[in-house]
Amino acid sequence: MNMATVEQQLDHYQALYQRRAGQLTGGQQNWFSAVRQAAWVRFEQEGWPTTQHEQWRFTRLQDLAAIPFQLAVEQPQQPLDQSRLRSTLSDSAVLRVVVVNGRLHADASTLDRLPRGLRIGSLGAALQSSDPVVQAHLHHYLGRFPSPLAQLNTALFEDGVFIHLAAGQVIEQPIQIIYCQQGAKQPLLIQPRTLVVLEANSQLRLMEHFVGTSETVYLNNVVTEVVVADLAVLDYYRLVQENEAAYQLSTLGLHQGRNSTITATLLNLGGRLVRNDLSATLAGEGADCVLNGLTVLHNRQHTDHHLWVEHTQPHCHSWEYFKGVYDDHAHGVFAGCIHVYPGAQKTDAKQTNMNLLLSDQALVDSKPQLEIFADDVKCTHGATIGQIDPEALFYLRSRGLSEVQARHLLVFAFANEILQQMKWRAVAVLVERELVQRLQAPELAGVEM
Amino acid sequence: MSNPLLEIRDLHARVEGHEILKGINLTIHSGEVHSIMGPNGSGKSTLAQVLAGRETYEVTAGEVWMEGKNLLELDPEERACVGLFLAFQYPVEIPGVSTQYFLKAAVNAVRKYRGQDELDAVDFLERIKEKLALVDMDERFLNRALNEGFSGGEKKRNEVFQMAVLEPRLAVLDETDSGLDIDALRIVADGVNRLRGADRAFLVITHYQRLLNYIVPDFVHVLIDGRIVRSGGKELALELEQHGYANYEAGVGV
Repeated sequence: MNMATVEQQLDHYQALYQRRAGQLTGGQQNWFSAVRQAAWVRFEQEGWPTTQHEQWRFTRLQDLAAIPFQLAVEQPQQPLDQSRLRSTLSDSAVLRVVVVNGRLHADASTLDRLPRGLRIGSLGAALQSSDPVVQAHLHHYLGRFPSPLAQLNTALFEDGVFIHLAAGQVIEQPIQIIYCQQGAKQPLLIQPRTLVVLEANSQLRLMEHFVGTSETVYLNNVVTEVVVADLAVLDYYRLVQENEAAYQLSTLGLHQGRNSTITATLLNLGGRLVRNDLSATLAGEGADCVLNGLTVLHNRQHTDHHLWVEHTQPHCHSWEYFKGVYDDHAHGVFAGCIHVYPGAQKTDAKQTNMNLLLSDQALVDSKPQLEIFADDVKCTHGATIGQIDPEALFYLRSRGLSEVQARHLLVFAFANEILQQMKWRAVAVLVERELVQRLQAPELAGVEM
Repeated sequence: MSNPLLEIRDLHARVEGHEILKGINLTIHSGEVHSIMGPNGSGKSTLAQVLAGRETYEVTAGEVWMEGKNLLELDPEERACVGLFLAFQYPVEIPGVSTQYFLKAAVNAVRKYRGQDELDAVDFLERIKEKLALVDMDERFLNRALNEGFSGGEKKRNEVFQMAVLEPRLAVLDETDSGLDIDALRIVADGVNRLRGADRAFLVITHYQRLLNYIVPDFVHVLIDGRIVRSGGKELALELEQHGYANYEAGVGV
């Protein structure tokens, strides 16, 4: 990106900020306004990331620079055409939360009869009313190196979802947050902000589902912060199905207390470009963090996962298992750092990144990194990039499967390893259906492997 | 005598420019068990892979006929559908696919080729349960990912199990005995023996004679440097066990 476009772009956002700053949720004089101003200053100072930044070497945001995004919150609200939420989940037991253009859409959500101890609502409203839980947590879990985009979100977001689960509560109904768009003639900048707080010893299952319901270009600049207190358990899913012209830049901050467990499954079927900055901080002894990822891309889709896992306390376990399948001209990036603090003894951390290339033009950049400052730890990483194994192909064909069928099966099997780990089977089935469609492999439909 | 099930005529094959098979001639009839023995590097596994259609090997001359079809013109999957089965020396691990799903896909591919209806999951399961007993495995095994984390013995039993399910006309066993302890060897050999019959033939490739104590062959062929240098009955295997391949090999290099 040349300097001119960087500056033009900054000008554009400065104009947006100046127009909006006076009307932000929470007003100008509340506890959060100073945070917003500081975030804005950071964004102005750091500017838009370019490939000169080590963290952005493989992901060019140049295309974005040329697009004059308008803030989605300035669009008039329209009734939501719910048929556009193409069958996201058929599970009727699901608590559904719908976020349209970055704002909670109460009518489309099922929030009227929530189980005891569970609060789900508009983050904007909670901010406005200075909810003490929001005050205690919002903006604290962006990771050690928040991206400029996370700062932009903090400076300008208007709404999103706030979930608070009281101590000791176990919620059996899973929650699905659907993020979608509507009614835009011009490219929109959508900035949902979500805060999830699980108090001690509570349990929850949650999915963030990003669905492209408009065909136009938009930029989803997402920030989600998740705090899981001592002994709490979160089963988390993120399914990204933005439209193929859309951009998603996201920050996911996970923070864990003592003996807490997060199992996160990040499923990425893409948009035009998806960048995910994930930081997980294991801040209490014995915390367990499992991060499974599956990315399946085609055409010219681009996905970049930047993971930062921090072990600050002893006896914690982290596991990253990220797989990617890339066809056509798709480009995948995986960069993962495991950082072990002095004193975080008996850390057990493993990072694996496996990539399957289905075309000669597909590209993967994989960058593992370990930073270890304790001496009694077990940390490993491994990465593979390969094509379909000719021996496996021959093995299947020698049993009667056609070459096409054998290829489909091998690609599906590669992805299925992640799906098999998922406890929320309805989500696995949903993704399986997408894969069958993507692979054009009807013979695999409805398989239980 | 009836028409041969398999007829190999003057088969030559090479890999990366090296000629491995230098004119193999072999005729197998239904109901027969043939064994090919030979030292390392003599071309035993190459022959098995060439028969199954592995593309790494280039056939430079010769013909292979099976059931009236020129095998060399068929894709590997067509050969399977015609009734050829190769029990791999090194079965491939495929995480993410259960043995059951894989086998159902295989069985239905073969049925489709033969113009039969595909089996649904229930019918299929019914059919394969009895075959599991053949190799002393229980049902849980069906839900495990194909060969993933299997011991050497389990992998070979899985090959025999697949053979039992797919019911081939000709089964080629490529060093199915290698790496097996005596108990596993017995189970595998038992499974094979129970599949022997008038309308099926076996080509058992082995380095050592031991397997042939359990799977008793009708014919033994000695393969040295890409050629069958001697053929005989089962007693030939014992002779090889006593004297090794040295006599034959000495003759070849001259």
